[in-house]
Parts: sequence; structure tokens; C-alpha cells
Amino acid sequence: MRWVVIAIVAYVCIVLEALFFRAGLLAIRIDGQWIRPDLLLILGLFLALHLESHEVFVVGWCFGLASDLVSVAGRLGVGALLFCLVLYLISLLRKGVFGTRVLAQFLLCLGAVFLVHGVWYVATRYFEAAPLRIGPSAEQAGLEALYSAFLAPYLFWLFAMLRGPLRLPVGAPE
Amino acid sequence: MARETRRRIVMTSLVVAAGALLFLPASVTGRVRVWAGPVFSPFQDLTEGWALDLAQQIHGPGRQGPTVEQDMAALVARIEALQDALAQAGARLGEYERRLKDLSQIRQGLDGLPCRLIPARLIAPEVAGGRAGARLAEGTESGVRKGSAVIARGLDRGAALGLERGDAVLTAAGLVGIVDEVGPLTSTVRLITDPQTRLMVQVVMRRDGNWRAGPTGLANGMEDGTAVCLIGIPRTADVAVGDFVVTNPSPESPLPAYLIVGRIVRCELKPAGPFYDIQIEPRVALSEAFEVFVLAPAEPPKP
Repeated sequence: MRWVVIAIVAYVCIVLEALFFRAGLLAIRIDGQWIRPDLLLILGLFLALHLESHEVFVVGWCFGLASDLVSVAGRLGVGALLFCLVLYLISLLRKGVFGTRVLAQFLLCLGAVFLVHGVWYVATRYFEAAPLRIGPSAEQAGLEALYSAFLAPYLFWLFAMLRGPLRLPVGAPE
Repeated sequence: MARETRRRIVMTSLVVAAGALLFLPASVTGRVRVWAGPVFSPFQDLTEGWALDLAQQIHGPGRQGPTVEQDMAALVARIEALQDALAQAGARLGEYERRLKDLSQIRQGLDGLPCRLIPARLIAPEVAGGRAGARLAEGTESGVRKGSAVIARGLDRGAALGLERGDAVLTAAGLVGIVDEVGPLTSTVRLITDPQTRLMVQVVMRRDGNWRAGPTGLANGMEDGTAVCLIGIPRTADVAVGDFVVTNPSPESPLPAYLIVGRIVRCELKPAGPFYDIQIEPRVALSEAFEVFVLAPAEPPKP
């Protein structure tokens, strides 16, 4: 049942992202680039603070693959690898993270989204044999991380309401 | 312990699977994305019209900015327009290069003669129907007959550009005719096949591998206006079919020297005649000539 709820919430995140954070709607245009938050990664971060590490690995892999399928460019598997590795790493280090603090959520999301998106942009360009353009990639990843980080506390609060169906421990993360 | 091992196997398998996905061909990846697209964005049509570009709202309140689709359509239209312009410019450039080549060839032939070469185009022709001449637009009532030859052409340049009666009209291949009537903006060119055209010419021949100047004579359009005959060449002269005919270098000749007129295609002797009966074929296909140059005096006349 827990996995079904996670799958449904993840699907809702993807659908919401596709519906509202596409070009011309809630995506923000800066210097000709459309900046969107990564709702799926925020959900992954929330789960990384509460689930077992091996579960986080599987969830991260599935979320990453879904993210690969939704994106319009790049190779399949890049997102899956990045999501599962980053979320797994966070789940291993979560004891030092005060996951209920707004600032912690903000910074966690900022770092994770920046890392995943930055590496994803560079890897995609590398696989397409295009110039890597690390500077612009980092700039876009940073802006997307910032947008995601601003939304993260609200989404964490919403996800916390699903603790019951997700059978997550009540209170602060481990 | 077994559970831990199983977890590690699962995690390793997932990493290997992700690694394997990286090497999927782009066509397969694209097909999978096309298939998965509607699954992950089922209600996209609903929000299609809700475009709200925050950046546009911030920078230009009250103005509805173009959507990505409109931007794309505008870009495509612009690219198409640029391609059209490029093709047009390419064609124009080709024409300019060809004309430049013609010009340099003519200039080389003129050997430093002080003159102006005015680019021009031939327009409506006149025909020689037997002995008569008339504008084509006038039809058979004016004497135009089927098979009649063109003896005069209009020219889209006139006195405004300094054209004068008697100026030579030529292409890179050779002489086309002589400017006859000059109007302010247009002129008439009397072709070298016109019976009224008389040119002082000289035969140039190649004998034993050497070029040499031959006898001089008078080139005159034939009565039917289809060719030029060369008169006044004595029967003792050394002329043959294939020899070249050029404008006479004599100072008395009104035309610049050595402009190619044509080649001898018939050269006959009559038993009692003192002169050759010679026919010249013009080097320029006069019926097809369109873009020409007018050889005008170096200094345009003062208004």
C-alpha cells in the first residue's frame, strides 16, 4: 500500500509539473531559459529523509527514470542514476540533517537539485557530443535549484500530511 | 544476511540497468518518450490557454507576450524569408559575376580604348519582311511575315546615359549592332544584319599557325536580314571559310578597332566578277541577345 501511495503522489507531481510548470505558465523565463522546479526530486528528498536507504535507492531510481521519460532531451538512465545515487547519499547522511527545519529543507533541496540538474545538463551535452558549456549549465541548474528550494518547505509540509498513508514515523526524521 | 545480499543485488542491478539504458539508440529513446508523453501529461490541453509568462508580466504589465509557438512560427517565417532572400541574392550575384566577366573580357579586347561600357538590355525588336521593316506589335498588315528576320531591337538606355547615334552595341562574344535612334530613355539598335548597316571591316586569318591581317572590305546586312555579306574583297586576296571578320582599325572607321563581327561561312568566286562573294555569320546569336553593353564615348555629353 505504501508503494502505491508513493507511486500515486509521484505521478501527481509529474502531472502537476507538466501542467503548470511548462513554458509560458509558471515556469520563469530568465535570459531566454525557462526555469522550472523539480517536484519529483523534492518528493524524493522528502522520502530520503524518512524511508530506509535501500528503499530510497529504488524510489530514486524509479523517479529518475520517470524524469528521464518526461524530459525532451538526453539519454534514458542519466536521471535514474543521478536520482538514486544522490537520494541514497542523502538517506545515508540524514542523521545530520534537521529535516523539519525550513532552512534545512531549503538548503537540502538547493544542493540536491543543483547537483542533479547540473550533472544532468553536462552529461546530456557530453552524450550528444555538444560543447559542455559548464557555466551556462551551472547557471540554469542553480536557478532551477533556487526555484525548487523556495517551494520545498511548502511541499515538505504537504507531503508530511501523507505520513499516515505512507506509514512514515511521526515527528522528526531519524 | 540474505536480505542484505538481496538488497545489494537489487541496487547493483538497478545501476547496471540505468547504465544499459544510457546506451540505447536515440531512435528507441525517442520512441519511448513519445509513448510515455501522454501518460505523464494527460491534461496538458486543459492548461494550453493559460499561458502566464511571469517575466513578461513583470517587464511589461498589461501586455500579452508571444507564446513559444508564436515565437517558433515567427522564427520559421523569418528563416523562410531569409532563405528566399539568399536564393535571390545568389542568383543576382551569379548574374553580376557573369556580367563582370563579360565586361573584363570586352575591356581586354578594347586594349585601353578610352570609352564607357554601359550595361543595357535589348527590348522589342523590329523585323525585316523582305524589304520592309516594322514593329512586331503591328502585325501582318504592316508587312510582317512568318520567318522574317529581326533587324532592329529596342534598347533600354537613352540619351540620359550619354548614348549617341553610332555607338557600338556588343556582348563579350562580339558586335551586335549600332545605336540608331536615340531617345531620352530608350534607343533603337540597328543590328549588323540590317541591310542598312554598313561597317568597315577587316579579315583576320590564321595561316601556317600565324595570325595575320587580311584585306579590308565593307560588311553589309543581307536583304533578308538573316546574315551579313562582305563586299569589296578582290579576287586576288587570300580569304577562306572560317576566317574572322573584325571592325577595321582604320581611323576613318567610326567604330573601335578589332571588335569581332563574325566568321566567313561562304566564300565564292564568280567567273567574271572582280570580287569575292562572301557571307559572314555573326558571332552573336542576334535573335537571342538580351543583355548587351553600349560602347559610349568616355566623357558623357553635358546637359
